[in-house]
Amino acid sequence: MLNKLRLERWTPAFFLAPAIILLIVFRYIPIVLGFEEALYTNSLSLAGARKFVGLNNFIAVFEDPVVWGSFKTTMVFSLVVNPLQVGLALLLAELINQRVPGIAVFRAIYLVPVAISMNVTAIAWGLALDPNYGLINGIIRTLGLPRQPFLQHPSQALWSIIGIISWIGVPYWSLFFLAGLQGISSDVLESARVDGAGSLRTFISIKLPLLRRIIAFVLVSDTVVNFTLFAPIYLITRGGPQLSTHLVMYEAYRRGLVYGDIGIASAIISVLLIVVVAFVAVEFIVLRPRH
Amino acid sequence: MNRDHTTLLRLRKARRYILLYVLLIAIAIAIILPISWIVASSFTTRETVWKNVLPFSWRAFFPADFTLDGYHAIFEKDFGRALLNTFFLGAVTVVFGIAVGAMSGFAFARLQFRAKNFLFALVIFSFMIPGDLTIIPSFVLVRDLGWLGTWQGLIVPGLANGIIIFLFRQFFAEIPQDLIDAPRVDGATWLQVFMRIILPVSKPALISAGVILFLGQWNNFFWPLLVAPDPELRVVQVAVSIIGVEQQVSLWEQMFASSTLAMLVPVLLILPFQRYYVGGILGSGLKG
Amino acid sequence: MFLRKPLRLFGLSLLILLLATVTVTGQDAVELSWITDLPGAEEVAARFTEYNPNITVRVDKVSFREVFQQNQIRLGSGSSEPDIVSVDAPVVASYGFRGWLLPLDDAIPAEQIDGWVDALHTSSIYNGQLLAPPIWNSAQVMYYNAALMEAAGITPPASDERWTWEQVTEAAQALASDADADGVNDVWGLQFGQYNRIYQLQPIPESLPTAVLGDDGLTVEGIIDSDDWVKAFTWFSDLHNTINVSPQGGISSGELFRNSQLGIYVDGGWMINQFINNPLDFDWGVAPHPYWDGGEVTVPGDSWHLGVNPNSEHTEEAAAFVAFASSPEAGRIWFDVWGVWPAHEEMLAEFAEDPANAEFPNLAFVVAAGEAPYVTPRPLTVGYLEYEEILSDAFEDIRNGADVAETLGQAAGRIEREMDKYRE
Repeated sequence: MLNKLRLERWTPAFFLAPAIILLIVFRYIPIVLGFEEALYTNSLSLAGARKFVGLNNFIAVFEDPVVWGSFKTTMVFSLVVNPLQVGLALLLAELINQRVPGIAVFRAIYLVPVAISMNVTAIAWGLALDPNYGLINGIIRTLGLPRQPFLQHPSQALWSIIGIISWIGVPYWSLFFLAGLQGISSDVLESARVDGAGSLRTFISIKLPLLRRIIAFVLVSDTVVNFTLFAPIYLITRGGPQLSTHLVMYEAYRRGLVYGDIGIASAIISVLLIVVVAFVAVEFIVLRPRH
Repeated sequence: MNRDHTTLLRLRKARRYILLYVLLIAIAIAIILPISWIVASSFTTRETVWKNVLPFSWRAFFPADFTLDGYHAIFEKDFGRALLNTFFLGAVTVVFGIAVGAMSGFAFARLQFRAKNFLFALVIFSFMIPGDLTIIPSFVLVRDLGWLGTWQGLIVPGLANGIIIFLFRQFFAEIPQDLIDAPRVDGATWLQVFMRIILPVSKPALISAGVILFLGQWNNFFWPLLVAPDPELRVVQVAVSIIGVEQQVSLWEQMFASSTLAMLVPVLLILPFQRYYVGGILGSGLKG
Repeated sequence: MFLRKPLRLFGLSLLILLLATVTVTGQDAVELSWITDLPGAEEVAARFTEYNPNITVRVDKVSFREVFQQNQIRLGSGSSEPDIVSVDAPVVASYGFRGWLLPLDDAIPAEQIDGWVDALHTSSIYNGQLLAPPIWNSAQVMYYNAALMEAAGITPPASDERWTWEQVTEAAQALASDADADGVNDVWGLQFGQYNRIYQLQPIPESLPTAVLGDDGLTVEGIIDSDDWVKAFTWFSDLHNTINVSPQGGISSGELFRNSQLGIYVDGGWMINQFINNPLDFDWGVAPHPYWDGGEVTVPGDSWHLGVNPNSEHTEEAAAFVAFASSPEAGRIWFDVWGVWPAHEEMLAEFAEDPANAEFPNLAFVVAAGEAPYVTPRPLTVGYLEYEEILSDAFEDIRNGADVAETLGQAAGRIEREMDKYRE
């Protein structure tokens, strides 16, 4: 009996050890290594040999208008894309939560983008938005409206990127909201209906408050994903035109993997990491459940 | 008077239905169009693949001249190997990833121990920091472990996943206490409770976790490219990026054929599990 | 009962994982790794193994852009792989500066070195040391659609007739047409293969003639924002924005040309093989690369080079492979597989005299190979990667209608800032 009790004391460790060890080794140690790397330069010395430069990389980051600009663009982008995607995902979830004939088919179709990789999405949409040959301009012309430059003009490029990533993002996040909506007990909705609340009233004053925790979760996850958005920029716009889609991760990629300056790239990523954590903290505080 | 009222209600309802279906269909088209273009293009020849696209016409959504050339060509280039590799990678990741995630999720949901809040914060914080941010130090770490060009280099770093742990914790937390108390009183160990009681009732969570882990591996591109560019270990997304271009020229029919297969597999996987996938997230206790 | 199945699955996976970690290595057998995007790499590697049965070369294929990324990460972090390094001609200096390439002066036979075309030999040297031998040779040429030209009432150039950019512009304007008046040309006049890379666009300013980089190999201010550059790229901007003979957007020029929607197409000689193997359904031709009236003839074109990773565990074997891959024998394989001609002066001469190449379309190879004397290497600078990337941004913006002088001025400022770190 005593033996068994002793064994039980180690049970939590047994259950936790694999996950915690793996997280520390493969998630946290690289973060620390990244911060450390930001204090060195290796772009100017022999292979692998590094030189300690203190905070020089950070100073360089703050002095460079291109890096600085990429932070500003990312900030504006985040402030637009996150509420937009969360809002549209909520509406889409409400739409596919309607109990009408054939809804299962639509739900299945809406699930498809979730499974498609960013590479394929980027190829398809990059072409669809081509100024001369794109499908979208073809439709616009058919409607008798003037052609749009989309990815070719600084005033539309970032919006086009937002549209492309929302093609995947909105259906994806709406899955979470759909799960939440289906979890709301029908008694609550029934009593609202008896009180004479319309669908809009019910959505705003009954459903939204009940979804608060999911909204917080989705908003935070979406924020993290979009702060580190890279693939569509790399594959479609390469930061242009006129740096209008030059997001931080793309600048970090350029510094690290094109120019070969891992130190500066690490400094940019370290700053980004701090910004992300700060942003998420604010979102948590704002959306904290009130008792 | 009463009949008028009913007609009005019915009219209103019909209008609502029409509006609803117009919306549903419009969104469905926006989702299907780009995909059907890729699929249709995969069945054309290289010479005709752009004929209906320059400029774009509705014909682009149907193969201009049906052929399987693209598919034949990619399987000659060992695309089958890449598919198998990725299935293997996905399967192993799912099995071990679920084991690691479910065990720790169980501990967080049901066991008492010191530093629980701190350790759980460690889990939560880990998925606030996407792996992309630390890809270079991760590469150096894996290299120093001697894992470049190996299966474990592709698998092990992704096994512990904060979202999976979180999902299991939330799901397990809602399992009724009675289910656990009975065998505990009978002297079952926690491991026995976990294997015999918890896992069998957690199908939705297991499936959700499995789908998330598998999709993650399937759509993974940069990490496998970095850790294992060897042809023997080539995965689907890397194969797609290589097969599409040769001699500085795009082999369109092959690019589209490989893209089609690369997206078909996860779609086929996710559709039958749709109910569970949503159910698993639902069970994650985020509701209300 | 249900315990058994998951457990068995567990055990099986564990076993597989363990098996996978056991690497089989034969005695004395050496495996070299090589990251590349080059067609023909497997064939060259296989021939090398025929001569050296104990050495195999594992070809890790990646796409063009990823060759550079892989090099940056692996060589930059001091990894022992790849053993064989693929080096694009203009980054020999950049890699050399960082110590990523082993000097090969003693590893390559002297007569082989002497045989290389001069420009290629120059590109393979940094700081007086031979770091990365060239493996083949290339040049840009002007392709044209003869049927479209005829329809537009233009006499195509002879295969040895070098047009001026003025002639090209005039022809392009005649070729461009929008019969259905939908605002998009049915036929475009002129487009470049790599329309936003300095590799392709360098001759536009250089042929004026004007410099593309300061003598110190670092300065760009006063050069890429000079009046000459503004003049050259105003012409480039006009093609896309005012006279509207070149398409904006990302549609591949090769596809437009194949689709009879492009009259004049400037791209690498490696396309000839494509047009022969997958025949075009119209009459086409090849002429030498254009130049400015009264200016100098300069033609883009160089080679991939191969080097040896100094941290490799098999430097000797890797050097032996590099020597083979840059030999005349390998040169023949490169040509057979994808139509790039050899880096060796003597072979070029044989090539031009070969009766099999006297007629079109094989004559096209001779036209392209004949450009060798006019090929100017890309700007020799340790900061080439920064220079190229920032200029690409600028060229793309100019295509899309941004102000030319302002865009070039900003690009100059950005490049200068990056070059500062090399000045110390």
